[in-house]
Formats: sequence, structure tokens, C-alpha cells
Amino acid sequence: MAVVNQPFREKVVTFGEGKSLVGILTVPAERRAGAAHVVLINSGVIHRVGAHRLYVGFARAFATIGTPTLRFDLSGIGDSERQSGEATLTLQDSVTRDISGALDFLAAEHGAERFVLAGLCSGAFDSFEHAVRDPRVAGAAMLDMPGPFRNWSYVVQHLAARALRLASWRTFAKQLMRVAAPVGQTERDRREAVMTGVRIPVPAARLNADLHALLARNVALAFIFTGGVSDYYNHRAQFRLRFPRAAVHAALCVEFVSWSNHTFSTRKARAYITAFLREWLERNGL
Amino acid sequence: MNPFFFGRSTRQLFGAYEPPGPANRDLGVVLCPPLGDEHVFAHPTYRLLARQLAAAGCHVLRFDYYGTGDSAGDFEETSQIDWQGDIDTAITELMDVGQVSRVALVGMRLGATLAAQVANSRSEIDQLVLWDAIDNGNEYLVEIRASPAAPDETVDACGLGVTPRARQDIGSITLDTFGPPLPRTLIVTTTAASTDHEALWARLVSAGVECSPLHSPDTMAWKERPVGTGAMPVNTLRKIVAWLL
Repeated sequence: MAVVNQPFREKVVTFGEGKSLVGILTVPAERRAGAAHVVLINSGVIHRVGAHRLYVGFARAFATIGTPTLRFDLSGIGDSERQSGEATLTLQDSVTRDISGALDFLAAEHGAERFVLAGLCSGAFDSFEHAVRDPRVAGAAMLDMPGPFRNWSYVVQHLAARALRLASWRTFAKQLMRVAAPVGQTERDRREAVMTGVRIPVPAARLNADLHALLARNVALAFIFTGGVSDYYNHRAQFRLRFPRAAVHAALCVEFVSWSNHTFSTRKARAYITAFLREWLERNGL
Repeated sequence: MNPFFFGRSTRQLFGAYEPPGPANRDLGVVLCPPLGDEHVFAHPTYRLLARQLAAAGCHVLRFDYYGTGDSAGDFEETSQIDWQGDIDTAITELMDVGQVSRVALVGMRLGATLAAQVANSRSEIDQLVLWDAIDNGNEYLVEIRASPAAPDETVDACGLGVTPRARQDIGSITLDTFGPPLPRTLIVTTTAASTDHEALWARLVSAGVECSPLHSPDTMAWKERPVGTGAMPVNTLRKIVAWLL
């Protein structure tokens, strides 16, 4: 159903096994030639509207440049039913099946050929992981993707900031121990991940290999970090120092929005990141 | 569950209709959500409530106000009278889709306050559930940190751009907002303190409303929960379903 005077129309779509996955497809009034279909992936258990309606804003903004967007609920989240066989699948296998289902649906029903995956937090992780596996993905935008981004420059930056406000060296020592622990490598991290359903960050070597594989395919990649994930990302140059070879590739861009929190809870932050991604899509012909 | 858009083409609302199970009753239930982040956090609870009511034979409609959730528009364009109008539209839609003559409203937080305002103007509404209703708008604005630096400023609060107009509307909410005539009403309190809605209960009783209190300390559905816990107020849902039937 069209909304009068809008540059887009929004329609409810259902797909997957028994049409049990629910999404909203935002279709631009005029589709840009060559535009990919953007698919937004749930962030945690927040349903398809996104934190503070972030995904709704993305979809409508992307429509203004002629890019269609699907925001949908993975099985068991929002309005999407759990699908059969769920109990025997790992979380990642279930996510992979659902994202593949979304891409299959867009290809079959809307003639989509190229896709951009995007998401916040776990949605970023899932976008990246799926992009590695699915050759139909031409771009991926990861907002606050959890992963092995901490390195020596993170520690230096962290300690410098701490040194200016240290109340006691005892606290300092505890923080140092915590910071030095590699992400996703400790038994505690694995235990917590299993308990909470949070994605387990991949080791740095694998992430590096995946980055190079995606860039070799010329997949456009955007990594956005906010001040809300200062437990693993705390300065603009960190990605470049962590993954120096990948960072210089023309298809990869990194943005550090230090003044925003993790969920882009202010209108200013949402407007900024929406405009950033819209421009990134256009610049990369997506 | 049937997700769809309804309402005027210039004011498209998202709805999710849950058809009844085998025991098809002549009873529709419209679930009026809270606003902003509270709406997002309450989504799984409302979905579960809809399924439980449908399994018991009710026709159920969840929906998003204009400018919220999947519905068209931006929240900054809206006001209290619009939110009430959306509930009104949802009632009409459910009566049409479900072919029911009786409708109950379940409202949570600000959604409860709005539901009460609509309930006293429509004769088809014969039951009302006020779930942790907002009965003091100014306290609510303080709670969600919507106090502005300047009177004409739109404030980021609860995931919304709260405009001066919205602040004025919400700030005007008092116990007197819950005026008779109201249908049979259940006042649900899930906060720990049983005294939280005593004043509202006293107000409705003194106004002659057939009113029952339900103090059910439970998971507060509209609040963010730790990742992965998935906790929902199942005991409260069970009691609400039983009361409506």
C-alpha cells in the first residue's frame, strides 16, 4: 500500500519455511539502475524496527537514493516464528539459513541479484559472517561489530585515558589484566557467550583472512564503531593499526563515531549514521 | 498471525492480527503498546499475550501508533490526539477483520492511559486492562528524562524525539484523565510496590467503575532486560487472560 507523496512504499512480506519469517520491504518509487537490495539484520533480540527505530530510518533514507531495503526478523525474534529443526541447528546455522532465505526471496520475487547486508552489534557480526559465505553479497556495513579489534594501540589509548583519572594503582592493575585478555579466546568469554546467546567473536587471524577474501571479491565493506564500545574500540586509527593490509583497500572504509553511544539513541547520531551509510551506498554503486 | 498495514493511505498503521483458535469467541482484544523504547522492549510480551488470547478464542490485534514501530511517519509529527485516533482506528479494523461485536483494550504504561481515554468514548469497549498505567504525566516525563533545557526544545528520550507538544500532552495526564464512564477494568501492577496504583484504583472506585486490582510483582515488560535472558511476565499474562475471559 502506498503512502501518498512518499518516495517509497512499504509492504509486509513473509517468506522462508511456511512463510514464517516476517519483514517490511521498503521499495523506492524509482529504483536506481544497478542498485543492490539492502537487508538489515536484527541487533540482538530487538525486532526489525531496530534500536530507536534506526532500521526504519535507514530503509526510508536508502529509498530516497533508489535503493530497496528489507528489514526482517530472524526466526524466533520479533514476529518471526521459530522454524522446524531449530533445536538441532547452531545459532549461526539458523541465522545463515534465515539470511539465505531472505536473499532467495528477494531474488525470486523482486529480481534482486546483488545484496548489501547491514546491522548493529550481533547484526553486524551476522552480516559479516554471511557476506564471507555468500557470493551474492556485494557490500556489508557493520555497526559496532563485536570482534578481535583490541590491539596494542587500544591498550595504549586506554591506559593514557586511565592515567589521567586514576584513583588507585590497584584498580589500574585490574583493568590492565582485563584489557590484555584477548577477545573471544578465554574460557570465560566462551561460557558467557553460550549463556547469553551472544555471538562468539572470531579470532583475529580468521577475521583478517575473511577480510582479505571479501576484498578479493571486491565486496564493499564499511566498519562503523561508536563510543559505546570503548571496551574494544577507542580511537580512529585502531582498525588501520590492527588490520593494516586490509585497511588500505579502496573497498573498505572505517568510521569512528566517538560521540555516539552504541544504539545511536539521539536523533543527531541517527541522522549522522543514516546519511553516512546512504552516501556509502551511492559511492560504491550499491 | 497475519501482519498487514491498515488505516488511511496517508496514515498507514502496522498491525498483526492473531486469529482465534477453535473456541472462536465474539471478543476482540486490541493491545495498545507503550511508546518509544518501552514499546520495543514490550514487543515479545505483547506477542506472547496475543498468542495466548488467540489460543483461548479471542481475535487479537497488535498495532504500532503512527510514527512508531513499522507504521508510517515520524513520532515528532504526532500528538496525544493522534495516538488516541490510532487506537480508535485499530478497534474499527479489528471489529471488521474479526467480525466481533465486543472489544477489550489492553494498554501498557502510556498505552494504558490512552486506552482509558478511548474506552470512555466507545460503547463497544466492555473491558479494559490498565497495565502499569501512567497516571502522572509529569513524573513520567522525569522518569524518561524528557525534561528540556528550553521550553521549545525537542528532547531525545526513550528513543523518541519528544516535542514540546508531546510534553504538554503527556504532562497533562493526571488521575482525572481516567474519567468515567469506563467499562469493567483491571488495574495491573507489576512493580514491586503494591501501593503504586492505589490512587488510581481509589479514583476509579469512587467514580463507580467496576474495578479490580491485580498486584503481580513480575518482570517489567517495558524495561530492557539483560541480553539473552528472554524473561517475560508469564504469571501476569496468565492472570490477564483469565480475567478477560
